[in-house]
Amino acid sequence: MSTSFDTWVAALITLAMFSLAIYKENPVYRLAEHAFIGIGAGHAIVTGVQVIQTSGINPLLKNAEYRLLIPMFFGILLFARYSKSYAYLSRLSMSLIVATGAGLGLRGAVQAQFLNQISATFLPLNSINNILIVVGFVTGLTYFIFSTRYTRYLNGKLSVVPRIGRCFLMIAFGASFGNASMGFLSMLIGRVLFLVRDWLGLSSLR
Amino acid sequence: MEVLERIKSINPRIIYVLILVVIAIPLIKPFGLPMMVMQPSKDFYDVVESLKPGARVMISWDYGAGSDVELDPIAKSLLIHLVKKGAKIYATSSIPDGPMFAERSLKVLESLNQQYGSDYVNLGFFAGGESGIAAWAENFESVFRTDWRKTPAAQIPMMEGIKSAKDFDLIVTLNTGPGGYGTPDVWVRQIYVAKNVPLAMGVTAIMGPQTMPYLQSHQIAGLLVGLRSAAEYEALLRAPGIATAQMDAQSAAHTVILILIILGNLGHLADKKHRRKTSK
Amino acid sequence: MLKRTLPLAITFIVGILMVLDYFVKIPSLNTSAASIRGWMPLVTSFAVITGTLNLVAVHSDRIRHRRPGWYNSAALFLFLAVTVIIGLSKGTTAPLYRFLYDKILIPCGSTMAGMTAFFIASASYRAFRATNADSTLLLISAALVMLGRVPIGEFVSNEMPSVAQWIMDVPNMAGQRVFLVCSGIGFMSQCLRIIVGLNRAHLSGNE
Repeated sequence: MSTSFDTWVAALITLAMFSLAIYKENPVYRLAEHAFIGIGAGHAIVTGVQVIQTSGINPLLKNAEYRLLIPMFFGILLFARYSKSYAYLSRLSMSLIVATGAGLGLRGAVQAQFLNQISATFLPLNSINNILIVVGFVTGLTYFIFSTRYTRYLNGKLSVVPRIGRCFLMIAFGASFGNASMGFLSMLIGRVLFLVRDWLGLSSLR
Repeated sequence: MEVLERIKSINPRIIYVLILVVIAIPLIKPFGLPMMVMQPSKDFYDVVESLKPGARVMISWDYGAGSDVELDPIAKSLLIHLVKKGAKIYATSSIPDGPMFAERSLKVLESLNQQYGSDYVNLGFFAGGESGIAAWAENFESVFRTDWRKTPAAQIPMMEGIKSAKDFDLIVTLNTGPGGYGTPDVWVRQIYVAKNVPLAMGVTAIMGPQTMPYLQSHQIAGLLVGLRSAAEYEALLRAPGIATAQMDAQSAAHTVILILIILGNLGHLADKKHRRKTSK
Repeated sequence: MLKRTLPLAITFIVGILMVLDYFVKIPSLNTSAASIRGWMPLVTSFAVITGTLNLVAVHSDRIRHRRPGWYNSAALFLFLAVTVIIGLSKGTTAPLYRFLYDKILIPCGSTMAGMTAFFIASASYRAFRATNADSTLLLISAALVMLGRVPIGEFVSNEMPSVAQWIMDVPNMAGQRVFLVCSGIGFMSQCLRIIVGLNRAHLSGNE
């Protein structure tokens, strides 16, 4: 068993968090949870201040880069939201942030999430896999036609089209579930490994 | 029938403890089950293998606590591989937690006799998510004026000649997905689409399925998914490490989960049969 | 004017500028767009701080009014203050800072996330049922992917990893592409709505 103070703290914190699932919500868990939020928030503040210092204040004061006054001004305006009378001023900064994100996202998404995806589906129909990808994509899309009732066009025998699409979507959901289970188990394995190896000294895995 | 009824009403806490125990056993006494290497991991390996000595590679640690179990081993193997290829490594992060994990992973480079500032550098966190990536992809110096240790960029030898994303031979994001500031979608949009720079990804298993369309459309050059890919990468490097060691625990836990799924379904079938009988 | 018109005008002009910059080569337009993009890391680093200040506001309110669990909020403040003081005075590489981060924050975050595995295990026998064709398909896909991605799958059959990889590469990829394209269309329309001022969620509140 470990004799390190640090390891003991981390082990007790891990056990405190496990107590939520294995026992029930309790004061020790609540305390650990709030410590987590406190340190996380503190870290975000420290990182934010560091960026402001290294990319804003220092170049402004040391290199006289006065053009940085503009982003600094917009950044400071964000704090106006804490004043009842001037809260509306923070909207100027929010508009700038949101508009830049929307503009950049829009131009990139057209290519990455739309055009390139569609062109990658134009596959030669010379293998079962290619046929399945084309069929899965096209039929899957018909399932998401919300602007009109697809049954108006895909009725009778054609109603099988969105149904095939739904099968592909179900397989995709299944794959997501399988991977999610693996991902969450990895996290749990990481904690158990810490307990049995670093704390209890029962494992020699490296 | 009674057994199935009992299983249905089992206290979930028993399942939780069972999972914990089942995970702990192979961690204490590994089974050493063999595992084959799949094509996506080989492709990722080949992407790194094709780098020329002195190639500039940026790695973004876009993950925090929780995802470290899956992505730390990928980071470690990737760093070892890059050192073998003689690449220069630029670490960064789009989330505030990232640089802390980058610092942890970069320790492996010290043991490989790599010099900070000439072989690798940790540039720390850049704010802004998509806008942030777009900003440094265009004008590197305006965003990364210092490294994470606050050394001015001008004093770091390997920062010379880096003007934009185009000066990198490969950019890799180790990504935890939604919740992060720079999701895989954002990296594809701003690095591959806007700058046409080769982009590769190491993502958590949860993110794996939804990242596949980017791989098939060749918008990303390589993709590693979760602990399994991390273990495969270790196998390709002939250096079995912590990811390989944890795969036995994955096997044990998934066996229990699959048994539970089967039992749950048997119970459901029995229920259905019983209801049908009573309604008659 | 300042409250609504100017923010809407900024949203429209900046949004259009970012889009046009991609398609049009006009030096003055491209330079302006690049300058605004260059501001973003600095502006948003202020947002990182304001985001956490909201948390401070909520918890200080809890302490002031002695709401149930106020002492937890006090503990939150204590950890936050210690982290900020050490981080700003000694840096994030200071041993005490690393202790707080590595020995408290990481174990908490990782365990919290890892506990979801408990709920997945519990759900697997309570809710993961083959009740109809769709759910059967979902269940088979999930089971094959699970089995194929762990070494025990290979122990059962040598083909298992290839089957799991095929599911990931072919039917899953086709399905996920549908989600990606559809969510992409949704995202694009949302961006357009923001730029033209139809979606004003970012301007709400703060009256």
